[in-house]
Amino acid sequence: MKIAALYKNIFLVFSLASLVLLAGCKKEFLEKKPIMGNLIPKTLKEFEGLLNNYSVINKTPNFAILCADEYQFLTREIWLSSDEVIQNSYNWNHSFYEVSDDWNNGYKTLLYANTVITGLNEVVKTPANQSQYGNIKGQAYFLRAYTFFNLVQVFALPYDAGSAGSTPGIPLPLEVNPNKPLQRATLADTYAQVISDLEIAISSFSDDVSLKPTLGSKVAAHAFLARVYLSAMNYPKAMESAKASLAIKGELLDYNTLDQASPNAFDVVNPELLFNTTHGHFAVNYDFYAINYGNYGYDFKTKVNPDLISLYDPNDLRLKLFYFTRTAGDADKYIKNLYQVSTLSFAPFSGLATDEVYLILAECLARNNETEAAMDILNKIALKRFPAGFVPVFSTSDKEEALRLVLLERRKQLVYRGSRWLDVRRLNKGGANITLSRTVGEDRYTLPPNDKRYALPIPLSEISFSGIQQN
Amino acid sequence: MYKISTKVLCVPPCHIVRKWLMRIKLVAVLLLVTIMQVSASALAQNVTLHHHKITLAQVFKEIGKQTGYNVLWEPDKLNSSITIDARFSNASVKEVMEKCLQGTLMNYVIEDKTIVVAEKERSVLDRLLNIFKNIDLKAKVTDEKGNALVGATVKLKNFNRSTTTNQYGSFEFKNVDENAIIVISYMGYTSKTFVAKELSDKSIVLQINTGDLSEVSVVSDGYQKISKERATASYEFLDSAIINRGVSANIIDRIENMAPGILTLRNKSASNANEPSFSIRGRSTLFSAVEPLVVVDNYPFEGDINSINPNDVESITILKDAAATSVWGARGGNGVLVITMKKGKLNQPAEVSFNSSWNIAGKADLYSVPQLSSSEFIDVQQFLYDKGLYGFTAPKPGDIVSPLVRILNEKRNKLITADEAEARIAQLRNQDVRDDLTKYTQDNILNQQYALSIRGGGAQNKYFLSAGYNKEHGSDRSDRDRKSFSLNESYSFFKDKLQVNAKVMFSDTRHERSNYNLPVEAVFPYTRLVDEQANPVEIPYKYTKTQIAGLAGGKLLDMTHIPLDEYNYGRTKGHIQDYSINADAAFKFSNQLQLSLSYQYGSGFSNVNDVYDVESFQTREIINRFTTYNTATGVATLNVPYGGSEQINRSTYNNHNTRSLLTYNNSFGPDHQVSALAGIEIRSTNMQSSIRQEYGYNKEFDTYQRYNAAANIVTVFNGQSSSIPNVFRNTNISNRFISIFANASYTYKNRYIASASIRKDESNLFGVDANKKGVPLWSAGAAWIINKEPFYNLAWLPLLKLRLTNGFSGNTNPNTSSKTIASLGTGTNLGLGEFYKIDNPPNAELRWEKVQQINLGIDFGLKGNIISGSFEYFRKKGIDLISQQPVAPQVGVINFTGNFADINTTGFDLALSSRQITTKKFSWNSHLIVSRAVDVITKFDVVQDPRNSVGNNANIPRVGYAYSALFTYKYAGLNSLGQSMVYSNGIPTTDLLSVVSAANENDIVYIGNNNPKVSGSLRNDFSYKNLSLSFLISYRLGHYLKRQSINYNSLFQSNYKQADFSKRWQKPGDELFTNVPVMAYPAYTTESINSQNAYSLSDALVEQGDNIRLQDIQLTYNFTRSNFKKLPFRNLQLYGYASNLGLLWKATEYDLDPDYPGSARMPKQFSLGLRATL
Repeated sequence: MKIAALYKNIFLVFSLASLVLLAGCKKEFLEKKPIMGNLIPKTLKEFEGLLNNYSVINKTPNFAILCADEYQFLTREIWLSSDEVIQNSYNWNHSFYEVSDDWNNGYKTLLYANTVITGLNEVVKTPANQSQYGNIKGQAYFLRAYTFFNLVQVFALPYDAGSAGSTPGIPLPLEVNPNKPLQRATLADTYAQVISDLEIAISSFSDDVSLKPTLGSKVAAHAFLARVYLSAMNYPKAMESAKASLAIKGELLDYNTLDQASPNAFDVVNPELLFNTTHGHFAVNYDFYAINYGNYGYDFKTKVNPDLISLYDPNDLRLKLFYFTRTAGDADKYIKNLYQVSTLSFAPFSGLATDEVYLILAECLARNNETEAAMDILNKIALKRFPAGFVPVFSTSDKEEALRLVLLERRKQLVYRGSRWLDVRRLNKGGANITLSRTVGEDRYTLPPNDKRYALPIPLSEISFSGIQQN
Repeated sequence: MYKISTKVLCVPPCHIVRKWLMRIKLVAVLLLVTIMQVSASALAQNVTLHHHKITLAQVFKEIGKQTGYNVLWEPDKLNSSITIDARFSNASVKEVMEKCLQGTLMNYVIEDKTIVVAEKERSVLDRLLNIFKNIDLKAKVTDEKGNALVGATVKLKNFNRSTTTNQYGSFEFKNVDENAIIVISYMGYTSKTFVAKELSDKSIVLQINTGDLSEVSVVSDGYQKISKERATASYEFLDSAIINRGVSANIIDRIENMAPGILTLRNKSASNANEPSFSIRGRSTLFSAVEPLVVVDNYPFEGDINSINPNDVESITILKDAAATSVWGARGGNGVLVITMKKGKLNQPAEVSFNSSWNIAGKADLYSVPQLSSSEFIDVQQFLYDKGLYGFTAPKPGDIVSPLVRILNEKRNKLITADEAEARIAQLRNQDVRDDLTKYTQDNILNQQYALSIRGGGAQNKYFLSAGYNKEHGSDRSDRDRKSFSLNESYSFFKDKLQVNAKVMFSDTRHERSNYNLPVEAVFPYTRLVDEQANPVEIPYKYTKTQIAGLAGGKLLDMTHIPLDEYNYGRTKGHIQDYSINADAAFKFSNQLQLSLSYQYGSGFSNVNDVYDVESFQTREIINRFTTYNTATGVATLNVPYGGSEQINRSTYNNHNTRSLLTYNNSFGPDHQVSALAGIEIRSTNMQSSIRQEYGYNKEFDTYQRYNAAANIVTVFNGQSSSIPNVFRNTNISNRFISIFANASYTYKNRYIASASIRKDESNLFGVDANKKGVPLWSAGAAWIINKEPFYNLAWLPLLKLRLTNGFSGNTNPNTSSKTIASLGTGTNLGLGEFYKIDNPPNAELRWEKVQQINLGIDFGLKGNIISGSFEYFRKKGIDLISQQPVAPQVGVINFTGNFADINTTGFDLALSSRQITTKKFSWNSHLIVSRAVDVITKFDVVQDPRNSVGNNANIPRVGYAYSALFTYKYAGLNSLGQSMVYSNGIPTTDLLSVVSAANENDIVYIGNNNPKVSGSLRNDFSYKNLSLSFLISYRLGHYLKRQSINYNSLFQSNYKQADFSKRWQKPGDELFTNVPVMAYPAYTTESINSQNAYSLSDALVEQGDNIRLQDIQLTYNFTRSNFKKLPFRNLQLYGYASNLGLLWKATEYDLDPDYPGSARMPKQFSLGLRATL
């Protein structure tokens, strides 16, 4: 039976070899994706594809604009007929628990950011992909910081260095794990996470300034860090970041070059634009902000708060570029498209632009008693906002007056961006004592300074599934 | 070697034993001699032969010729050079034999007309010398068909040693006295006794003990053969006799009602799309794969199960409990159907078998589908006419006027007299469109089946070759042809140490049927489809000639609609092919240990095309619709190219399988037997499918033409713009598995059996992370053969066995992953370039769905098997079922797919066989099957709106109810206006809309399960001599269905295919007799909608589904050589078979077949067939 013995050996060798082979190829064999149409994002191109999903990525919470006092419903009837979320946010009635999408959409954005952040660990860095890798990493961290910050501005109380360590912030998912819901981090931890993510972003980004404005960039990260420090009332740091941002890009758009008659005066490619996001989702915007132009035959339901309009000098180009009047003689002003990424979008701009960075720098300078430098910035902006011959000159050596002028300029320039909500929260912490108020028919509603309603209710589904603390 | 040593063994009653032994030996010899010489022409008892120098072989042949005795000898034992001088004149057989064998070492024995020539018994001295000489003994035990008997008990009498046969039916004893007495026994077979030295290297054939259980057999789980006697798990075994009882070309039809636990889905429809075509012990998953795994010759079968030729099937084993299915691990959760195909036989001359059957039946009974009679529908149309629904006096272009309305218009316009109108209407009332449909669109059913196979083998090889052809012609004139071919060949080398097996299977199916559907908007109950001369007539549909002429400058295609022609212009054509190639090699290291390596490649395709010729109404319409016309130039442009249109569905698959399997079987002493296996399996399956819509087909050149699917074209018919209907879709699926598994069973004292198995599957379905976390699926079982206990003394109950198993198998779901699943986003995305959306976040905790099953079984057999059978109770729990559930939104999604649901299925299987009469000539056996399986969803975290469950089997899972639970509102009858009412808080109300919006759960009643709780069959087999008769009664109990009734809104839109119109409320007082609401016009008022929906959504339409039907009758006549000596066949069987014989009883009084509600009753089918073996 020699041949049989030979076969015996061949069999043994064959089966041993196949075992070794099996152990070697197993991982690869099992990594074949089951359905071709499904993508398991693994490459830089695929991560960029995730970040390119504009409708998910470039959105910020509606509440930042809904709860601020820049707009008013035309009539009580229109208010009553509008979406429940809008109705209740308008008079700060905190019974709208389930219907808000702000929370869900924010965390959906974070799912994308975290998918990219964790996925990047598996990508091998090479000299060839180094710059692309750095930019995608920067964009993902930037996006995470941006989203955390925007969520905390509506779902947590304003930042106060003294109490931030004990004030609830928001859950801070840093990886994708649907099976382990997190509790709310403190406000201090939330801010620390935002700042740390931004620092990683800044150090990851290449110096390339031609990145798409829908994705982050180094300049946008600096600008945003300035906004974050400003809201935390850390003015020296805010100044530092604003300067760093402006050092990369400090161009201002000359409003004299824009078409005042156009409903979309601001180009998609805007010299001031640093990062483009818009408020919330379509349904809310449709209710809130609709333009009766072109193919879109919608009517307005809200007008611009006359108090805001009254702040402008009659020569101010912004009066004509930001607002319009429907019929001659109508006292009411309506909002136009501002800094939009698309002329088709109804949603107001909520992103980052150099004008805001200048104003942050000016405010920090003023607070640091560098009034002259602060006024220089206001004058620099004014040159681009007024027609030649009508440019006002800002000049004061009084710190408080300088601050007042800067804050006034913020209100006039950063309209409908959500800045007003952030500013009221922050300035009241500093003792500004601003009470927001609305009048609906006969009823008057107010939101006193530092009210607990500055933190909006978290959706019930979140509370019931993760058991986190409600506001 | 072949001496007949009756003397040695002979103990009284001597002649019986001798007779038996004789037979055993004869069969053994028959099977072993490689060249068998048989002569069987009986002429005389004496021999006359004169021949010089004739070989013994020639003498023996001559003896056979002259006397009719069979002379058997082994040529290599008989020295062929020995010659004798034959000088016999009318000498007795005895004389001749003695003379022949004089001086040789051979001896002979005559028994029953057979002379066996064998080696001479050794002398007494020889025996004394050898008395203490021990030998090693090896032999093989098979059944009469040559199949190995696995697990047969082999006992050395007086030595207290025993063993069992291994997987190949072999056993071995080392160092035994060559005269030791060996007893071989196997449940269900007659035991045999031998002397050790006679046995070595031989095959022993055991015969079925006709007085014992016929079900007892060797089952296959796809990895190994298991003696059912030694099994702890729940197997059902169907042999070829059972499989061949029916005549359907489909294997599933053949097993229906033949084993407990199997339930086939009789009325596959859209509402039960999530139900499997057949199930084993009910449901064990919610949204994952529901079909049981089908295994053909050890490998999962991915092709179309209809492509398997039932004639090639040797046996089927159904794996039911976890201990049985856990060998299939993650794919075994729904049960496993193991199909074993026929193979060749060793040492057998070519056996040619032929089977053919012809099956005929009448046309489908179109009148069994409820519809309004012509007269009723005329009344409805007249009613609507009076209400002004067809109130135009001069029809506009495009208005299709029904024949009735035409008459009424003419009457109104005084073109005809009232009498004339009445006469014409009366004529319409007498017409029935179903007469024409039956005559011109239906055919008698004719199915033909032909199967030819050849099998046989030599000492070292065996082969099986088969070819089959099936041709089916359906009542709807559909055709289905299947050709199948298979070849199975094995060789063994090195004294059977290496066995190599190769197999090829191929099947090719083509089917075709018309895809034209009669439009109910144009064809009415009274419509004639032919004229007086039986020529097909035009029935205007959608467009009138004037309308078409007026459009696009008259350049449109004609829109004539002739239904009987349309049947020929469009068809669904399918072409399906499956093939597989198998190769395996098994090497025996020893009798105990074997390694086998095997590989299978399977591949196939399915092309199903929906074809509409350019002549078809459908294609003409679409060409016209997208014709653009330039009024200035007068040029008409065809945007849909001229030619036929086709929707092409293609799918292909291929799979690779490899398996390395190590098996071990051994006995340690008389009390311990171990059988174990371990292996690794790698499997990869790829499936591609695509759908595309083509236009402009040119038959002559077999080409299509391009069209612009993206363009928006303003259609000439309604001036609206739309794109040409198009579909292009590709799907590409890859499933890969690596599995390691092991199982073992241990038998102690032949009566205590323990078994265990473990298997781990890793696959690409869930991703590597999930595999890492995968807990191996395991099972354990125990059995106790009580009747083998020494203390057991119930003579009336010779078989009593208890079995208990518990374990896990799994279920797969390709739609989720432990990894992030994203897909390409669609849309312009503001010009930002390619973008992706996340469909499902990664789930690191994703696990296989697990199915735990506890099975408690008892097998029993009364003395003489007057009654025998088994009863099994099971509790099956689907755990970690994959479903979607809402999660904390901070995860990034609102709904998340994970292991969230549980389902619990309990039930029992009872199989009883009885022998009422067993005489030599006449026998009557019965087989009763009762299966019960009831599922309840025990965990499902999505809170369902109970209102969503109301309807016909919506399959919306709700905790505490079956998956296919049926819910309705509670009907409160009709009010005095004939309006339907439902109960709301116990009070009848007509206001259903308020009841619905109140969403009070108490208003919704749970009716019951849509699937039968209890099902089974009773089969009676009679045989008288060669004639046997078998009929089967099947039943399904404990389920409900919602039947279709009248919907007036749909009726007003000419849908006359409705029931219960004649039972409707018509006058006050009718509410006492009927539940069918008044015909309320118009149908869109709140009152009408309430009345309609209160009726449709309520339990007024619920019927009990319980039914008992006469499933089939089979009549067989067997011609054998023992009855018909001149029969040119080894065996010839003629059979008749009748099926679709109808219901014997149903719970519902409503006229419908609960298993086929709403479909045309199929006619009774009759088949005639023959089966022959050469």
